[in-house]
Amino acid sequence: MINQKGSKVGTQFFSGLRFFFLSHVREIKGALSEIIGKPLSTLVTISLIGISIGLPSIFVILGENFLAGLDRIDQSVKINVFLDKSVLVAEGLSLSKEIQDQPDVSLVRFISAEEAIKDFQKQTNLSEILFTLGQNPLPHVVEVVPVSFDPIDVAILVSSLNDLNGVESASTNLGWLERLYGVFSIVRSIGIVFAIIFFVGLILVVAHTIGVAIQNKAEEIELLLLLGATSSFIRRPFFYLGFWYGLGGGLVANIITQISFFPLAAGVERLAQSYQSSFSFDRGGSDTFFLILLIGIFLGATGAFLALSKKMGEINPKRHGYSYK
Amino acid sequence: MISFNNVSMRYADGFEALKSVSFQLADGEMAFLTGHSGAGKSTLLKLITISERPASGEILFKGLNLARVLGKNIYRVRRDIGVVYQNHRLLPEKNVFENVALPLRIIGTDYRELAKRVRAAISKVGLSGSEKKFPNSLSSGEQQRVGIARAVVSKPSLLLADEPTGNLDPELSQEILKLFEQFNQVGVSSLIATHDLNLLDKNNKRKLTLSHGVLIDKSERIEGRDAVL
Repeated sequence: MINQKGSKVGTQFFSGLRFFFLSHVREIKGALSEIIGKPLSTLVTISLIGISIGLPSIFVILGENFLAGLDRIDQSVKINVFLDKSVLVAEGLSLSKEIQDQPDVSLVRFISAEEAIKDFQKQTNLSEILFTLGQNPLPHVVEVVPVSFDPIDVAILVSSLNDLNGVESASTNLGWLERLYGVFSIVRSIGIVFAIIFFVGLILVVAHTIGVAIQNKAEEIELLLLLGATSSFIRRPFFYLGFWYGLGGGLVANIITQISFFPLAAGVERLAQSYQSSFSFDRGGSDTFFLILLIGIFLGATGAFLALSKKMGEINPKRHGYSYK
Repeated sequence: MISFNNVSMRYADGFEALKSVSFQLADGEMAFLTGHSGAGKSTLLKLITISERPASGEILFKGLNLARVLGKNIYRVRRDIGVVYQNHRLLPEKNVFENVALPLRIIGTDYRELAKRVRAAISKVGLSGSEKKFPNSLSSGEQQRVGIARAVVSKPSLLLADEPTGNLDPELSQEILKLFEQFNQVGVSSLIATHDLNLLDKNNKRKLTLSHGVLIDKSERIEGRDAVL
């Protein structure tokens, strides 16, 4: 008897699960048929969604490429640590090792005063003047390449190097780096501002489109409610409509982004070369592709949710016992 | 099956559509609800489908007070009641099969079972072969038959009809009435709102007569199985 009851409950559970799965599949297909059945309006809607997601995506990917480019500028960002004149070569080498052991330091190179004066002589042809000085005026120097090229991180490292015993002064030419980060910061900010504006607009576009679809089906919705349909049964096709619009928009956004990068990539690579960096432009991989799709689906579903919240309430909730919660 | 106890209904604009209405419809009974236009017939049916709520009184359906029913019970009650409308309320973009299948889709009937029952219901109303036709290609009488098939396909306990012959000629009206009688003969309780005198005169079912929201005649017992009021 118990087994029979258990078996019945199990059968009901799997039957319910099957109904749940099949009804969702049916609604997904139904929503797809609906948007395919209206190709022109669907094209307009998913193009709008695609542009709304595509433009900020372009800025974000450009920003990421700037960041990646900066990571490769390992020859340009150096901190020169000038040691006290009293520091001997052996002490200088020891101090170099101490600096190398710091976690925020990528590479160090110790340049003794003798090496420095030889380089100076080679580069300037001022050996006669140096000879008149009688002694080498240059100190030992440690060249430091930081791990991070973020101007704030570099400034913190310079400060910590200045505090070391035996260090006369540590300095770097951060001006160009700060300017580059400033450009990157603006590009990223534009991307974020565009994303917020376009995403809000996109949600409203989807909400309007689905709102019109709900309005067109008001009679059907009223009938379904009278026949005993639940609110989730009514809502489901419109959610999937939002899903398909979002997915289609995400695909269009990916296409727009990739097409835009053909002329942009060359420009960015030239800019990177001017900063002595060689890297190939990253158009975004499969993770970026799926992220854009997910953003599209999320925004489409959000638009559908907004439309349902507004329109379903207008289809006389009191009369039909409908409550959207 | 259903019991109205001192039910009154007032619309938001103050119009009192029903005034202290009391009656019972027994299991398996078929009755007519009649009266002039605006007498309260449609309002009474709307109270049963919970499309409106009474101002006072109780409406018992299978022991459930429809005046206070909330949430999931609303869906359950509506799924147990088949309704036939004067204007058919068929969905124009769906074919006959799809229109009739709607109540079964809502309750999640397996497709094979759904197809079997939909074809049986369509056959019962004499429209076999018209499954793929769209409502606009059907005559008014055929559309009403589709509406009836949709109302009975889920095997409801109660069948309601709001002026089901309102747009039909007398001959077609009698055919539609015969369909209701056939369903009643297999135990489906039915309440048919009509002011079609031709229809009322040609049968011997009980008549509930409304006048200005007051039930003025409810005691005409024609058949032995009718409830004592």
